[in-house]
Amino acid sequence: MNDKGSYKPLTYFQLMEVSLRELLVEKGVLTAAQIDEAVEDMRRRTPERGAQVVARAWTDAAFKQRLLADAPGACESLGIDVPKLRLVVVENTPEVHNAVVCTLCSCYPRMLLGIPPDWYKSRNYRSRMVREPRAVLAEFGLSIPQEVQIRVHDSTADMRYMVLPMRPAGTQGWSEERLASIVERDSMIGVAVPKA
Amino acid sequence: MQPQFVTDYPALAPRFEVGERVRVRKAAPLGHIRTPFYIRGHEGTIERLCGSFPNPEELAQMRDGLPAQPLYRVRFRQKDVWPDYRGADSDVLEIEIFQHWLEKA
Amino acid sequence: MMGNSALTPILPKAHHDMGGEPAGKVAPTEHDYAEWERRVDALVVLLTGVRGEKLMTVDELRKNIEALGPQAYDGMSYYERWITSVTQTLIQRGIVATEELGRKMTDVENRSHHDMGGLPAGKVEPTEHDYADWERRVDAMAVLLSSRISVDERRRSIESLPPGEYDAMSYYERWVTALGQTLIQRGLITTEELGRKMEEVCSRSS
Repeated sequence: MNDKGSYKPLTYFQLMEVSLRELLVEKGVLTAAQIDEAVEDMRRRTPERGAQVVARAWTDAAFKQRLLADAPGACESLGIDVPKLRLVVVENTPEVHNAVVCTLCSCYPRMLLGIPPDWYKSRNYRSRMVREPRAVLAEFGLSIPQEVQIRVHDSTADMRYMVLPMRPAGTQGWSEERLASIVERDSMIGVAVPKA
Repeated sequence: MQPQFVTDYPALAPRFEVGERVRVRKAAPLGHIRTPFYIRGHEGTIERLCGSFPNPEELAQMRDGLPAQPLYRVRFRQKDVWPDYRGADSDVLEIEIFQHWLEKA
Repeated sequence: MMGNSALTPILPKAHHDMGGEPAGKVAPTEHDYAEWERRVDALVVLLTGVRGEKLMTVDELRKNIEALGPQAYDGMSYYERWITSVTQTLIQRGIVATEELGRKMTDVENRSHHDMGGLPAGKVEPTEHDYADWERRVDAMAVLLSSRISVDERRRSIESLPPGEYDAMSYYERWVTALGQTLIQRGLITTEELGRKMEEVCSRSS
């Protein structure tokens, strides 16, 4: 583990992390190699994996059906491992826009998309997204017409949610790879939509 | 009713059906609770049975949380939850709520 | 919002349970996670058994974060909260002991020349009051239960009360809360039983 950059004294919490890790390794609870591997494993889990899933759903109707009924199975069928993830995919349509929040903490489909952004875990997002979703989406630059129903999912228990955004117009004939390249993390949380 | 996820914990039987009107109990005990404060006392509709999972209130206390409780996705109309809601009438909230926090509306 | 005042909770809403609270604009901030933060994340994944042996549950981790209280919760960064919670949970589980952690932290600190300094303290106000019946009952319950619940468990429970609320609550308000928390942790009562009993008592007295 190499921290790049210039020397800074440890904060109390960094001190706690180092101490705890050394104790756990000394006691044989974990090994240093396991911790390093787990860090690298989470680093490899990125929104690109979710984008791959979305692009496949846009081009393969049977896959999309499977994704909506059994999301973990559908991901695994693409070779994307999502250990113990109770994933539920919710589909945006012309009538419905979905968005995801965890008001109680920071539940997020990490095993698919990686570590969530700071703002998703912030007080402001967690407080307001359930109460005034349209105002929050507007702050993200997304304006949803009144005729479109907004469904806000508060992940309070064992499920983890990913939004399947709508395929934008002007993408006919695009390859899956090209389609995946326009699917960003925020559109899978529901605060943005993909643009061609 | 088929659950979204099949689990193999010993579990209580589901008491509610998809489409049924339910109310979230308005209790406020101590301990670790996963039913958000803002939804307690409100009425919604069962959207789906997610499956049966160990009770997080008990897991937090280092106990096994069994028998597993049926967990539902419950749909609430925003304008029913917030008196000052200014979005569309059709806007909804969907929240996972454990069976022991629900009663028939 | 909760129209029926007979069911107003005795304690303020928990600080982490923030859905629906007024708050400011969402600043779409992100940061590149530091290595120590990634290691904390990795520890959580490993210890909660996403692969292999499960040594604790994410529910215990959440509970210990919730126990931090408003000032710590808001004043600490996300991974500062998580490393604190991982540590608390390992201690609660008996995997790491408070003493050995203290000694290890001192070792590491000496190696890293980090100065932590002392803590501020307040003035002692010599106040008194005549105890109410309910306060005497709390005291009595604690004494009667002392063979089953040690004073250290009760004290630990009080210590984990939210700092801001610790100051706002009276002595016996803190003790009855600590007694309740400890009884739940010990399994003598469950969260659900307490909730239903409180509802029942409220509807009896309204």
